[in-house]
Amino acid sequence: MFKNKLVLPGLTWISLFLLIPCIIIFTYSFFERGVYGGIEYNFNLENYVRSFKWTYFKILLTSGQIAFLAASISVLIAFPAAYCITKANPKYQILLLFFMMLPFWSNYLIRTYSWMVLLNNQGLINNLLIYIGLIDEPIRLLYTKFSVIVGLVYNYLPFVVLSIYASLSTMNKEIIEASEDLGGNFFDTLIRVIIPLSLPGILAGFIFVFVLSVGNFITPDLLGGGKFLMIGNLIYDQFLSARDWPFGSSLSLILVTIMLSLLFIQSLILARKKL
Amino acid sequence: MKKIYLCIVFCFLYIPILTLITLSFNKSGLPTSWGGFSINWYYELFENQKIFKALFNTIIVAFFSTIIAGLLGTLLAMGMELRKSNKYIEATAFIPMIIPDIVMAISLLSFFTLLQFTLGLHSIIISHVVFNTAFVCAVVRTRFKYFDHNVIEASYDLGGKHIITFIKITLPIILPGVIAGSLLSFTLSFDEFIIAFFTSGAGSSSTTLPMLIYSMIRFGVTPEINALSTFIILFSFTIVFISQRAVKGKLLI
Amino acid sequence: MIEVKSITKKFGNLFAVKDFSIGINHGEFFALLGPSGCGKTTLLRVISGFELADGGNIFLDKENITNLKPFVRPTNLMFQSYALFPHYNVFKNIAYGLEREKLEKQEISIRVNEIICKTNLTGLEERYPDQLSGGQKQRVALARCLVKKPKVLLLDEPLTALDKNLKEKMKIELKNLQKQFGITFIIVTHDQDEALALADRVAVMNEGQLVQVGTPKEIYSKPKNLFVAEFIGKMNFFQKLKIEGNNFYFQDNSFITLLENNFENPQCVGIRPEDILLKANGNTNYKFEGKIIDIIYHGQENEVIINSKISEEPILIKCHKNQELILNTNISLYCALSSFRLY
Repeated sequence: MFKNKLVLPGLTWISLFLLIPCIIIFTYSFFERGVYGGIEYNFNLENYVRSFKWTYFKILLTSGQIAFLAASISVLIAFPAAYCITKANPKYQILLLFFMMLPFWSNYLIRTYSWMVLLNNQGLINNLLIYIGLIDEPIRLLYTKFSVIVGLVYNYLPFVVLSIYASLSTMNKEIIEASEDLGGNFFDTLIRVIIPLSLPGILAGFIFVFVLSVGNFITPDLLGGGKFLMIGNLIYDQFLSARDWPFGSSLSLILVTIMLSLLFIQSLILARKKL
Repeated sequence: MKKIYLCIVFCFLYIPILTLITLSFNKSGLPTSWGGFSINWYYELFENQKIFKALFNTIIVAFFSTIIAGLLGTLLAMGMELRKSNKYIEATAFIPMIIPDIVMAISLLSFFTLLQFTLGLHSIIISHVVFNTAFVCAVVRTRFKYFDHNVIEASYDLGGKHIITFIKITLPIILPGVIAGSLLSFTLSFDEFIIAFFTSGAGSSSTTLPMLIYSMIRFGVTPEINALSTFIILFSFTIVFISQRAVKGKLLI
Repeated sequence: MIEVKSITKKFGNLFAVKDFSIGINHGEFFALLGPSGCGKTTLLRVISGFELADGGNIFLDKENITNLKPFVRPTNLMFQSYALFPHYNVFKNIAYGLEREKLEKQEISIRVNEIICKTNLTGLEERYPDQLSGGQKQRVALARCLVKKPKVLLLDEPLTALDKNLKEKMKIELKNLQKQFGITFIIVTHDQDEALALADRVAVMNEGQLVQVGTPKEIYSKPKNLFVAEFIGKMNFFQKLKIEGNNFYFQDNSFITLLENNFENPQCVGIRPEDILLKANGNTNYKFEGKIIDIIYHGQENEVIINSKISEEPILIKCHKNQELILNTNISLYCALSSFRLY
């Protein structure tokens, strides 16, 4: 590893300012909060026990639930979109993808804020629903799980389209034609050929949204209305308001563990598919 | 059918952005009622000194973290593509891209606090370099996939020693990737909120633009935010256009 | 004169090249022939300096070049992928090697233009590699090496990427250029036709080792063992059932008396398709009967597949297009005893 001098500066930087800090919070997670904030260096597992108490475990579950829904909805919207793009004129495919990705590059806070404007009680969507007569008075859209999920889907959808498109477009067109030639109708072909073969892209997109959602802070904070809706808010609070760094550290580690196990499962599925 | 579906998806993606842009020209400043066209909020924006200070800070952070990450990321990508790489190197270069921002933010805060490091713009720069290096590396590596690695050996064979080969062959070929990666890094750093928030330290002297936007959104929305958003959206889009050209356009040298 | 002396190259525990020795004369067109994975490309990369040998030496005109870096070695390598610099035009690609020698601009220009002329690239100087056809790319790659006037030019599968017609054209062109420049060419290929057509001498390699070296004629007519016989050209093999003295018995108990028994414990006897004749002549002294089961048209010379009692396997023979043969008819076939070889 250290014979390769070119990678040394980059790896050193990442190790020094990411891996070592992670080791520090790993250590912190086994200590306890001092009376005035700070750290008491008493080794114990109290923080982890506390994380699984219902008050906090509920938040973990909600985070998982919101992330799962956001990821599933993203895939459900993105798959047909990616499929439509692969069927479009090849000249325009890159252009369509480009405009699909474009919003992704603008500021995350601003993209999230735009949904605060739209979902507000006096916002565009409530007004529209009243105007077409579906509802009589504004319904609460903002500061709900729904608004958080919308925000997450909105922010990460472009990437999911891209990742599914990537695996759909590398698929040999003749395979689909072969399935049709052998008597498979559109749905047979879709379910038995296209979806299984584009699984790596679907999986990558799903995991991407899940991982970024489960540990998200901004979206639940802005669209969830400042409640401790998700684990990200809880960690934020432990470090800035409650000043319980050891507990915040243990929550972070639980989050990282969830994330890494998901990536591990993904790599296992992909490895099995190759065999 | 397909066209209609794509239209709906594009509407979903663009209506929020277009709403903000439209509202920035709304005289009433309210998101609910249209009070006529006005560029009044842009005047207000330009008179807000806090925004300029934050913009200046953000540009400093984005610029320096991009320069450092551009160098480290390019070297890392070259090392991984041209020399031997292994799963440890791959993992180390991958983790900064996927670790939740909040986790990275609190661990850096713990790290800096433990070392009693004075926080400020420099600590934001150090932190941003971590994930920017990983992103630059990833973009530059895709550029390596495009070209035949034999050209480097061909250059050695024709008498080009290592440094000459790097300057004359390798660098010009990967340059579009380096430019695209650096622009990406600049945008990421320009937009990054949580890590900057945690590593900027107390006091408003090192407030960055995203931090300012966050407080504007979170604690009392002023209509200026729409004008500011419009600017930032257009700015990000311009950078993306440039970087697309850099990757796909004719090579520069 | 390039001498390769007991070169060994290992990757991990695997021998890519094992104790390989060969001498190649100045101005010779030499081919390294073998199936993929036989170590021929590794050997080429050892000669060109991209891989360091684990053992053995390479001498070029008595000078030991084993440990010279590629950029100072007086050899040049033409890559299978051509490895043209995508950001340079044709002229700059060809000039690159001369610029590294720090020659005067004017001299570079003269030499590049000269080589562009000789390799039929006139008019393409300003083009970039992605604007060239396969054949043009190959000529640029060739010109880029030749302009350096190397003592040895190494070519890694130079014709593999070309389509059939272009391949034939380039074979002639390569041979002409080699004669014109008088440079030693060492070509690596898995295609026996290519090796036999181009080279003055061919070395057949298998599993990292030298199996046989000789002129194309020697290799084709006197393959040293079963591997070479199977690898070069087509051959009919008859499994050994019984040998008494020099008598080799076929399945139907007919036998031939071999002129030479060149093996201790032979496996089979082989004969080239073109040595099985449809008419007897003064040399033929073995005759057998067979039934035509298939005719494969190639144009000038066609292949005919015969079922015969003398063998379980179908027998392949060749016949000229003027020869009228009818499917499912019985015919008599004749061979000379001298064309049978034991393996």
